[in-house]
Amino acid sequence: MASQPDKLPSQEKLLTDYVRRLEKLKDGRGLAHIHLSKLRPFNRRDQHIRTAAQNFDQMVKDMHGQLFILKNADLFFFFKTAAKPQVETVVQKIRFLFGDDPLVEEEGKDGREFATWYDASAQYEEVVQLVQGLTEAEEKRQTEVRNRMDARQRLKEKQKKGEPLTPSVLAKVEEALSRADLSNLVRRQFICRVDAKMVPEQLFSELFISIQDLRETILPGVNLVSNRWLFQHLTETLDRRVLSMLMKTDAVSISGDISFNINVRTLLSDQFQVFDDNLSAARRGAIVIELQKEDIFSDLSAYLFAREFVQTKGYRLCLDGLSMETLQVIDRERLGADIAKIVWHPNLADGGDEVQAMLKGLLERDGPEKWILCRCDNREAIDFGRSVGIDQFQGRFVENLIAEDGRRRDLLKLKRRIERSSEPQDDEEEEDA
Amino acid sequence: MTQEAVLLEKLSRIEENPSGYFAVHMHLSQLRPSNRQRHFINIAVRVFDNLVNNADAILYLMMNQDLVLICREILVEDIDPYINKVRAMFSEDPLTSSEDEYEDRLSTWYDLASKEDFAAFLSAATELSVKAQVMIEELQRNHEKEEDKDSGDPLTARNLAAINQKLQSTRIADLIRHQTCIRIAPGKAGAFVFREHFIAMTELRERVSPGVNLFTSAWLFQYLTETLDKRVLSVIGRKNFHDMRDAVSLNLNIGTVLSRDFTNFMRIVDDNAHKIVIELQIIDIFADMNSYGYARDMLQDRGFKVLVDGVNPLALQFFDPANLRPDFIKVAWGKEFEEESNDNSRLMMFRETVEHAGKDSMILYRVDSERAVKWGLALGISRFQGYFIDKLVQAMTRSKVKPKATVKAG
Repeated sequence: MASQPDKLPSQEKLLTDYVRRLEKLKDGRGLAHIHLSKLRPFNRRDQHIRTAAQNFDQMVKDMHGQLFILKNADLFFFFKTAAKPQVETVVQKIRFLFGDDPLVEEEGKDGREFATWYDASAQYEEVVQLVQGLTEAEEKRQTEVRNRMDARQRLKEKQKKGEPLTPSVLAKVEEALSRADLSNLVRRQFICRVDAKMVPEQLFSELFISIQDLRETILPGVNLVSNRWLFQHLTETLDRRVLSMLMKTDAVSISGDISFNINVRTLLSDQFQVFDDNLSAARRGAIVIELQKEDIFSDLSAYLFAREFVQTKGYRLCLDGLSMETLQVIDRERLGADIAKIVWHPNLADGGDEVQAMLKGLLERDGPEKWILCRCDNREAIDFGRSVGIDQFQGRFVENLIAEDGRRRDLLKLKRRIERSSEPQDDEEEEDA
Repeated sequence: MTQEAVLLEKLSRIEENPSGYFAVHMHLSQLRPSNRQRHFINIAVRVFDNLVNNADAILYLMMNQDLVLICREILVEDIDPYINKVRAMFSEDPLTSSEDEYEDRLSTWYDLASKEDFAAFLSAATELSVKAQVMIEELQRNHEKEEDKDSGDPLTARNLAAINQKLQSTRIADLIRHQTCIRIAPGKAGAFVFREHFIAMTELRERVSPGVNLFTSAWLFQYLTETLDKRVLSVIGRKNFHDMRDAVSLNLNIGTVLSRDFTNFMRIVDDNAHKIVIELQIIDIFADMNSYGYARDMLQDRGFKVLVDGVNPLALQFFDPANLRPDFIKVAWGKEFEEESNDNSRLMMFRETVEHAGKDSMILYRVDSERAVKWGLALGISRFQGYFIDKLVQAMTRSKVKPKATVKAG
């Protein structure tokens, strides 16, 4: 498990407290303020800041000083004046780390500074003001972010995705759903093993209703996912429709192993019983049932019961929708799911060694067949997955790989046919085995 | 005619020629309430479909949820797999997790060809039948009361809009109830931690939606709580936080914490955020961990305390709430803890959770007995909430040994 970041008070708060206490012991102390917040964004990622901060570890350990890492990435290092030469060396090291950033390259121009030095005793008031200013700026930033998320985000969502889902709209959608033919809204995406040469091997396919298309079909202009709880309720209605559709095998031509998302409550309902009655034991083994974590934790007893029920019947269970954050809290093995899906997000790659180590650990413990990286939109996702030992993938990029692979095979076939037709034809039985 | 009566009739016919007959009594009535739900039992019943259809076997579902299987001329080995399937379904229940392989608490077998067994089973079946009669009478008597509590129309998208509308304008200030969380140290008077403010849901339901059961859909109920949050914030926002002596705790959705209503609330609270604890639900947290992390940091930076609510003993087996890094974790006291004092695995798990989270962040709630408090104290827990604590608080208030107020929640 990843190590825990600082628990309670923010660094800003700790810094404020520290500066207050400093008043009594400010003699013989200095402060280096390192302006990492002015680095270019791609140099300012978490792991960069962590690496920079680590340079102070030894001095902190030797009680020569105290380090604060602020939310805006600036570093504050308070030190005993006697240790100033060492501090200068460390700052120099950090400066080298970011040697290619304009902040370092253009240092000195227009008063640009990589680090500012203070004498805590002579410039105490200045230090106090500086810290206060930064703390207030951080508070203001948070309020702004929240307000933006609130009003601006809501407006943007509305313009882009339509009116938010309200209870009365939900009622209309549910009614429309009971009549709508969903079979043409079913989409299929393959889960593939992808090897080092990017050649995909199809393992099973997930069937799902395209929410985008559903919206266009039954209620254009309404954003069905805008309210988490109403949407979750809607998925229960969808579950039932999907089950009845799957029973009419002619509705969707399904071949091979399949998976679909469903609510725990639906698994325990009569509809699922009927669905199950209509399946042969062999077919059950070819079905993967995907469950959402919030659904599981909303009623654990129901989940545990349903898990035993479906696993004894031969279905496989997949824990869907894990993220970097949830991986640290929820354990697939403890929950007894056969497979788990991690949703690809660039923050996995940005998470640095800690996240890498955590994922590698899980993959080593469980084996690659237990894990899938989904929503892989680009090659970076596959490369990252492979670097931690994942070899099963799903997403748009994987779909592209399949198409590409298909084209390659067609070409190969064509090529062989051409070669053959130019040879003397003596073994025709071999043709298209 | 009840299944119990049908079973007794069958027995009287078997008595004439009992050779080859045996009975298996499965004590599903002894499951924990959370596992004894109707739809669970229905699925357990279906496990036997194949057997009942293809062999000389009959299954009876009793009023108390027990199952009785009557078989004739079937190998015991052929019955075992079915019983084991049921056992596996309830594998998390103490009823099936017997340590002692000779003791099977789930099922009792009777060889009906043996006089002794037949008599024993007959008396068991008679007892079941008597119980059923009592239950039927009780049901009829409580019919009206039952209607109040668990029945009523389900909450659906259709009636949700109207209820939500009503919720926005209904008076709720008088429906806010309090419960105190206190810190107990051996030999000292209890110290006040905070007073939880919550809405009396049964009474609220009476007011906004008589005849509708608000709890039939976890998701739609959660939607309603978002509306409720806004009302609660406006009522609580009228308090004078500066003069407030006792810390309060509020149940809110993460969405609410990130909304404009809460920004306004923070403005009112001003420097007194340390007197306020925000309780967040597990289901809400897991639905969007990113938002949770953001909301938690924001609240803690401002001085609020964050409490993770909705953790039960069962949940502790599946995740460690300390990883959510809140200030407090509320774990419901459950019979599970008592029952399994000899089965140490759950206790060990809990001890680990307490250690990982830190003793000062754990709150044991739904504490209904002194035993629960003693149990918690033994694990190093010192913060408690529940009916039993309410009585303690009352007693302390009456004897004028007021709990010492600590304005800072903690």
